[in-house]
Amino acid sequence: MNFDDIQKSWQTQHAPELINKESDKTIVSNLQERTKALQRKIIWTNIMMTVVLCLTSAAFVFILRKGFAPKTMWFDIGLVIMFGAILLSALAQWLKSVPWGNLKADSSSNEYISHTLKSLRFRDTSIRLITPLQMVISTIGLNLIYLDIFWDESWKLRLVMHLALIIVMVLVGGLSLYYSRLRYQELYEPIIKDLEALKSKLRDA
Amino acid sequence: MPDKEKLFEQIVQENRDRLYRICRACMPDPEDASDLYQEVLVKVWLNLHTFRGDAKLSTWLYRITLNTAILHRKQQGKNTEPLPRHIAELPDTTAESLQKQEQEVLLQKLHYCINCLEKQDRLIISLLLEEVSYKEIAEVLGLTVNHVGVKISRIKQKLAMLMEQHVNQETFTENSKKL
Repeated sequence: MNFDDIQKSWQTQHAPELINKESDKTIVSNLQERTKALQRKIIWTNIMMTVVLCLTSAAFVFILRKGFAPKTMWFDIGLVIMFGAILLSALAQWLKSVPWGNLKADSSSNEYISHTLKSLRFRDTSIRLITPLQMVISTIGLNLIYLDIFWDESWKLRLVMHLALIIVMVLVGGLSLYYSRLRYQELYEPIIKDLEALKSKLRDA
Repeated sequence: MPDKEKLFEQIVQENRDRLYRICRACMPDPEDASDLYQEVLVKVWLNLHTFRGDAKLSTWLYRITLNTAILHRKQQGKNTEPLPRHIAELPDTTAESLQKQEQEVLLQKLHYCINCLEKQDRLIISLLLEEVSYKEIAEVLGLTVNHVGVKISRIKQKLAMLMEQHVNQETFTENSKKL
């Protein structure tokens, strides 16, 4: 046998598959921990959002409203529309982003994974649909408030103020949605992917 | 970080078999070779940021592999090992696996013979079997190309001799058993 044959035989050897030191059980338990950590984060974000919402509403109703002394009913209508939209969006976040009643279940339960996936995917729906809609309605509410505040001013100033408000809202809204999307991709998507894989494994089993 | 992961995955994908075979040449026992292979991959991952493209990626990988192998062997304190598994221990005896068995036997002989070589010769032959050029072998081992050429010629002769000896020894053993 010549050296070329030896070389050919030698090159038929293949590397073994890398051994994953983590057992399936550890992977599942890690995933469960990560999911629970994310759920805790979601609940904490919801609480903070509620506190901020309450404080802003109080500031608008008890401080700004008194300070501006509304001349027309548009101020109150604007307030109701703006806070109505924010309140409904917050309520939807509370109801849909937490898998109520399934928090204590474990990752070997298909039902738990389905509920968790649904609640995590809601964030995507929220970013794509609910938050932009809420922002548009809030902008309409704020414009109505502006309508009352600048009621006695010239139409030019009023136009400029309304346009400025819309531009600011579009910029703030756009940035907020952009960072929400980034956060979603960083925090939610990896867990959703792993949960989907686990779900499909459970289905196969 | 994801870039590093992607690059690492790509390196592993493209070089895994080659790196494993070099580990296999340095470690006669397949399990030791697998351990060494994993250690090499860990080292590649940890040192990936140090690779600046001055040398060829393959040269860099071979250097890491050979250095890790030398350290690994020192830690194990093992020298020449007997043939890890005997032909008779191979379980499958069906006709279709005969060719595979022959191949396996040849590889076992080869591993045994490589293991009988000097430390540096083992490293050289492991690279030569991967069809690495003389120039690159010289770069990896810090030798001159001429020196590598001379060494390779000697190693090939020695390897051929060892293979022949091994075959003769086996034939002798089998004949003695028959008698």
